[in-house]
Amino acid sequence: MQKIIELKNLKKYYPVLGGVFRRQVDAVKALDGVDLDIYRGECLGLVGESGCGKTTTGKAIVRLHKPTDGKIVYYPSEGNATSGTDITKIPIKSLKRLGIRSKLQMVFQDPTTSLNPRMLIKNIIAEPLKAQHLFSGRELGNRVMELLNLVGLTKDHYLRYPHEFSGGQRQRIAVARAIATNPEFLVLDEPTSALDVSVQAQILNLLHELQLKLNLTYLFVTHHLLVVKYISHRLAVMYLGKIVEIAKTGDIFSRPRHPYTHALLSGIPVPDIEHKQKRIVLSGDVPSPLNPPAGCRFHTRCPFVIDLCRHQDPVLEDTGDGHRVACHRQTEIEKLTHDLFGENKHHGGSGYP
Amino acid sequence: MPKLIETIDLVTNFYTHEGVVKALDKVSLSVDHGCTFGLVGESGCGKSVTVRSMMRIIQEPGKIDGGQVLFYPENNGSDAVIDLLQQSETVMKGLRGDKISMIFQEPNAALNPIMSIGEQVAESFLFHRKKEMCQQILMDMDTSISKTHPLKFFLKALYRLAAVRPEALILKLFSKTPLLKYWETRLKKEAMRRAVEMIAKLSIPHAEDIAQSYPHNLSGGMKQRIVIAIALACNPLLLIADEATSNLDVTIQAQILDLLKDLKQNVISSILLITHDLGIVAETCDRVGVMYAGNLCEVADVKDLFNKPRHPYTRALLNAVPRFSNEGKLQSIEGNVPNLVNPPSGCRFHPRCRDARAICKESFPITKEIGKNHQVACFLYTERPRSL
Repeated sequence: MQKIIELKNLKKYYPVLGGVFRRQVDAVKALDGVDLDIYRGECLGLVGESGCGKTTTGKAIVRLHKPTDGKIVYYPSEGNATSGTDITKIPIKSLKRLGIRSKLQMVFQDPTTSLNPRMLIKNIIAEPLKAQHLFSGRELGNRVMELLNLVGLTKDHYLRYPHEFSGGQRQRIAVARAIATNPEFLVLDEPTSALDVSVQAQILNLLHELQLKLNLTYLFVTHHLLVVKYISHRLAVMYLGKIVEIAKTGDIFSRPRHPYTHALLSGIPVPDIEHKQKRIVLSGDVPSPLNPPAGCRFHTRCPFVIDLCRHQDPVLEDTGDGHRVACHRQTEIEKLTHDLFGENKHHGGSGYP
Repeated sequence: MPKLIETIDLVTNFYTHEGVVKALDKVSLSVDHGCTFGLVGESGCGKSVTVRSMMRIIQEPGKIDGGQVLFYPENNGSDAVIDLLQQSETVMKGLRGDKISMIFQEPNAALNPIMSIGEQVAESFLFHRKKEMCQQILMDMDTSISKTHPLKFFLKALYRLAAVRPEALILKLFSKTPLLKYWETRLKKEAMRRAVEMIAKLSIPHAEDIAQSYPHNLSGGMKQRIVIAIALACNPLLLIADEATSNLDVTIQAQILDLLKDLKQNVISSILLITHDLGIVAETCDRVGVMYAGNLCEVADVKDLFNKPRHPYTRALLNAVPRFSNEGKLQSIEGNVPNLVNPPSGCRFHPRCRDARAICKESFPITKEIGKNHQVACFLYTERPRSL
């Protein structure tokens, strides 16, 4: 499998300013050493609670902000597969000239705020094409029509304003805009969480169709594990600026190795009457990223905490078959959860093969 | 179980610039004593408007245009009925937060940022439990052997008055005038003591410290607990939870749902839970009502609804929900939620319904009882249209 994006020890600290001279007194450690490989043609789901750094990761990849430290290596499809370019080292202005901007695009969470209410749909979708000087004149119009058809809208919608559409349709427009420049990689930042259940399924199916049709690679950022299960091939679970577990979607659901993943899975209310499982309720809240706990960051809420966890930060270790976990007690975790909570089997398997 | 609250043909409209939004179209539902009723539906289907109409807190330009909201405060099946829509605003103020209370979606917006947590919880005691607290203070004053207060006689007279008529004019005067306000301190102290007790009851550690702090000091889950504490302060008969957990993270949501379950067993009699998450309904509710575009399409016991959904919308909705078990593509419902300024004629679901027939376009079906405690409004099960 060919890599498309590689994150190496990515860090993003937001400064906290204080004092008379507005000097930096502290830092919010939004990302604290994230290592992640994204392979061409896959959909990688990134899950975690709010404030754990999911969106920051996504934004760093499309260079909406500059990471404090670390590398983001992008391997373009044409040319040498081994020679990646480090996006963090390229000045913002050259990104467009080098053709990287058009290849990495993003869909935002709330389509009501990400679409300009004063622009017509045709202009919204044409904007990235104009900015990249890809099309002009009649060709541009044709391309916009083509994109509208791709996302399931018709030419009636061409000359309208965003407020005339429902939430689901607006999200379709946002998707059309993101795929306008023929990108290779899309960051989907909670694309369905502002939508209703019945419409959410429409958008998920659309995204999956587009992925097959246009050979896209997705980073699907979400807080809802069940949503991402339908579309992703692999899942990465984040907690407080670090990745704690990464594996194939089916493995995460059938054999979660990190206690936090266990808690996330059992915390989801399941719309089945027969499905009665014992829920693992974590005590307390997510600690502040201003001063994250020493050692393993999860130790303050972990039911299986031992002394080692309080001092030493576990590294992301491969346990075979690409299943990587950052936990000191990962070898015994299956037995531990079984003893404490009883049988807790989730039905495995991702939706799309 | 006897009924606790019931709406009959409730109609609420919003008179906006674009036209009349027919938010509720003859909604009839009833919640029993000791029952957890879940109201589900997509956004804009009128879930919140239903409960807000029940509480009479619909804001301009909304107006309740018809129907009845009957409240049966007695559990023993007696006929003591209050029609909430006919009551004066004063009576409603006495009921809200006392007999019926509500938890709102966004804890940040529900809490006052410049009042301490304790004061906010104490507020509901001061509003609804003045009589009771004054009586208790009087008793304490009589039994205490501590040094006599120079104004004891005067204070006692005030408390005695407050214990009988808390809304007396002279009391109002005394609590508005700066120096004379003094008589209220003891009352406030008592309310604060009860508030701390209430906060501690919701398994919040260090209740004393929390009561002193302000909303911005607390995390989202903690704030929601405080909102629940405020709602439960006066032991309400009905707790309405309007999307109480939808802004919280999964792990925090699990905590709050557990808390509600515990409270249900010990403290509250009934919960009316509004949510868009069918998972929450499956786990916490006894009965479910499914709403679509201002209509109640199906009401059933939780087991029946999930095992044998009858209304086409309920079926489609259940198929569209992501689950652990099912594989392959998610089923979606084609089309969009209609605009309620010009709702579709007849059954409001017919443009998206797979089983739609000619009659569905013309008229709305009656709500038919098709099984034990299972009502459906669909022409698949009845031929009779609803009379206008």
